[in-house]
Amino acid sequence: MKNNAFVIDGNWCYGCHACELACQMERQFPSVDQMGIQVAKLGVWDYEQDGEEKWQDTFFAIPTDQCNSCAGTLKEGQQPVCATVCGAQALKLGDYDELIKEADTRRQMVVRIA
Amino acid sequence: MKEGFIPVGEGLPSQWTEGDETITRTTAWSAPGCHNGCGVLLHTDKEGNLTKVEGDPDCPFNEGRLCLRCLAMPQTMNDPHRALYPLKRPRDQRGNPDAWERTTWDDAIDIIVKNMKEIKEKYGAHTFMFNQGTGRDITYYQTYLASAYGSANVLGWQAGESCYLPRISGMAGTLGGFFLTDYSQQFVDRYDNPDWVAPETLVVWGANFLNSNSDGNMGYWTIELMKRGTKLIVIDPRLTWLSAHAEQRLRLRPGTDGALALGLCNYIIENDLYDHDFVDKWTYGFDELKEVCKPYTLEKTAEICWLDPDDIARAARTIATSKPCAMQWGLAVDCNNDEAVPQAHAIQCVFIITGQIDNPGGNFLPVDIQTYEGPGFSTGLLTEEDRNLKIGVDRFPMYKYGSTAASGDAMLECLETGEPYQMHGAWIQSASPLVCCANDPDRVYNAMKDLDFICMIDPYMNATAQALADVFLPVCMFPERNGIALTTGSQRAARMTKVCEPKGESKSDPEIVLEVGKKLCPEHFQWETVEDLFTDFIETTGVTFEELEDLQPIYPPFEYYKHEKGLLRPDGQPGFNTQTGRIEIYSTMFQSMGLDPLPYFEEPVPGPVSDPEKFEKYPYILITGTRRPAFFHSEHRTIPGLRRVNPDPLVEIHPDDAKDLDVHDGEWVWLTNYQGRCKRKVSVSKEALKGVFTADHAWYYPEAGPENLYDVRELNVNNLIPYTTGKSGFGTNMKANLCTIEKFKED
Repeated sequence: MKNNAFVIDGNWCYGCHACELACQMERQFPSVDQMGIQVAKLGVWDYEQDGEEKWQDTFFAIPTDQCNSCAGTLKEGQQPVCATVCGAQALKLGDYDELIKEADTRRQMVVRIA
Repeated sequence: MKEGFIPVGEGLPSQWTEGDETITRTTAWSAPGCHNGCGVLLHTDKEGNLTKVEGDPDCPFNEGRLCLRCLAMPQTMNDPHRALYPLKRPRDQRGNPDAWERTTWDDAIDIIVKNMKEIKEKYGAHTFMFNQGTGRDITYYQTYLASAYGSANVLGWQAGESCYLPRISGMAGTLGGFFLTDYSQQFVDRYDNPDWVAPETLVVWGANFLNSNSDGNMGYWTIELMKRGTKLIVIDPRLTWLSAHAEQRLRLRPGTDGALALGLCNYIIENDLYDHDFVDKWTYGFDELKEVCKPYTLEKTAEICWLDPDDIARAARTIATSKPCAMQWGLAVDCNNDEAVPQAHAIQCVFIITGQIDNPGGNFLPVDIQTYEGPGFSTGLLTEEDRNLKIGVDRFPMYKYGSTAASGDAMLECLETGEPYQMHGAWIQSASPLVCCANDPDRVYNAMKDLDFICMIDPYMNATAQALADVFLPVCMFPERNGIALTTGSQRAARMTKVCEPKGESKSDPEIVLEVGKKLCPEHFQWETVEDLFTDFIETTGVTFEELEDLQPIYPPFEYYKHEKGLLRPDGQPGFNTQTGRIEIYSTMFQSMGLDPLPYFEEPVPGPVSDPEKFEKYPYILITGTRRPAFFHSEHRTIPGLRRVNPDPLVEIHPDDAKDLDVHDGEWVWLTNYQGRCKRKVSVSKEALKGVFTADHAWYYPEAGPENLYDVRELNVNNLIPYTTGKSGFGTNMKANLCTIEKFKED
């Protein structure tokens, strides 16, 4: 399997930052300001839709340039630690062509890492 | 193992090696503090250093997931700020960081035991108090030590013991027990358990558990429920991720939750939406409830709570017609109004009259391995005389029957006045009241500072220890020790296994209690080792601490509808464990204590309605204790990877209020009111309700150094919070006070 992309699911990510710490623990970067995945926030603001109050308050955990998809350290079928610890199970590493079929809602994105 | 218990770990390896690493399947809990105790896989290298922490996918509690605080454990273990050696200091040098002298464990324990014995002989054991922090592995052990020594004066130092106890003690008066939100956490097969169903609606009432993982509730469980179709109603002034993603949000005025609950009850009753069968068969006092909530019409409730009447009606209909409907409440219920017990009582009533108790996907009655509150392992050695000497029992009878704790409010007055007796000493363990939980910390400091003897036991030299202690004992981190995690909520017996040697000379909280106990009152500390103590502690499971290694975690047997099956009462009859055998909406226990047997609402004090004069001067409502993901209360400020996530103490202000006040995002301000002030960084955000500020709690800057008490006096938001409680002695107002903002300038 080519681990060349992540599905990141903004439907359920609630911005807990566990993926960032997991990655830092795994990769031992020189500074805590560096990480292979970082949580980004959209919002917070309100707007009206069909007469109802809606809120933009959305998180995405986005692989950075330093994400190496834990290449060489994962066993067959194993997900990286950023994905396994994720409370919302909002991260999945896999093959771009397969993942793109799964990502079928507005708040799901497929991000290539290779 | 006793019949019916389920050993999750049976057949799973408890330790194995991969390359140069050893991996141990164990449980994460205390220190640092936490309310949950997740299953973890701890990786250690050849030198015995903790290199990596993974969630244990086989642990039903967290299913492999972890929060960032566990993932920072390799950093925490090597934190240079950790306290590593016993210290002592002359009493007249309290507050002087240069006066500490390193000593041996034997010497430090001898000093403690000598002082405790002297105080007991001269003045009585009751004049020595024990303080404990929340979410640490001390509740049972420290309370046992206090009880063996002969003092019932155990307390947390928050006014009105307002951390879950107003809800728990209140439910003792109505349910004769307590309920928990049903996320399937009591089952080893979780969401697949055939008896369980997902709640149709989950009402989130004053809780932001995605950040706090509070009271045995893993925040992510709600995401799992939402994925299974559960809709949310979120009752919270602040906009949270949960409320942004809810079907309905009620952003009410802080401290008016009791009025909202009575308004919901009234609408449900008036529109005949209540569960007739459940109310007829299993409740006592429904007609009286009907009367007390009658004045809370939609219009009146909406006016009190700053809500729209239609939104209240919609929420009431959804709650009453959702089968099942679960409710997760949070700390706001305990501490946004001094009258927290009747507030919690009113909220319970919404779910009692709709029949949502002891049912799948509703609010279940957990099975305890150790009693959470009240007599049992911890307080069994206290005599009736010891209990009568507990501070607060004469003024607040609920402290005598409903709680192991003494009243902080009465204790503060006792220290200040010497009435009904003079206090002489304190044991403060894994708590930092001057930084975290005490309202009006200056007042508490002044009350404590002249005690004859104070010892402090903590993983860190915190500001409370720096200001007050004569002897300091260092506590180790969880990978460095053995232990049992029952934690809060639905209990399971999980084992903590030592995988690293403790740094320096640090020891675990239970070890310290045992070592002191053996010298202080050996007749009550016959255990050879702390592991023998653990075996006795989990006696109800029929498993020893050693056996637990291969079986853990162990789950007790669980059933729904226990009230129908005669499983709740000692006499084996159907019904609830109350005097009437029914859920007492009209509480005979409250009545017998001279308290109102029915739920009621009083305006939060001070507030726009209760004190218009003060409101004119301080026209913003202040919520304190906003939870941030990186911290457990006052902990974790020294861990670089966590501090990066939440670097500074914030106050969130609505953009309209920021404009009126001419303050800007990122600007430093003084948050100030009639009692005190604290320094805050402004976050301008619509997460704050207009007219309401929300501020983080338990802040200090470790980098500011001990000579300034880590700047806690400048940063502690409790400087603005008076020490007050309700008529029952439970509850306080930390989340609906009044304040304003002043531009920051250095004094």
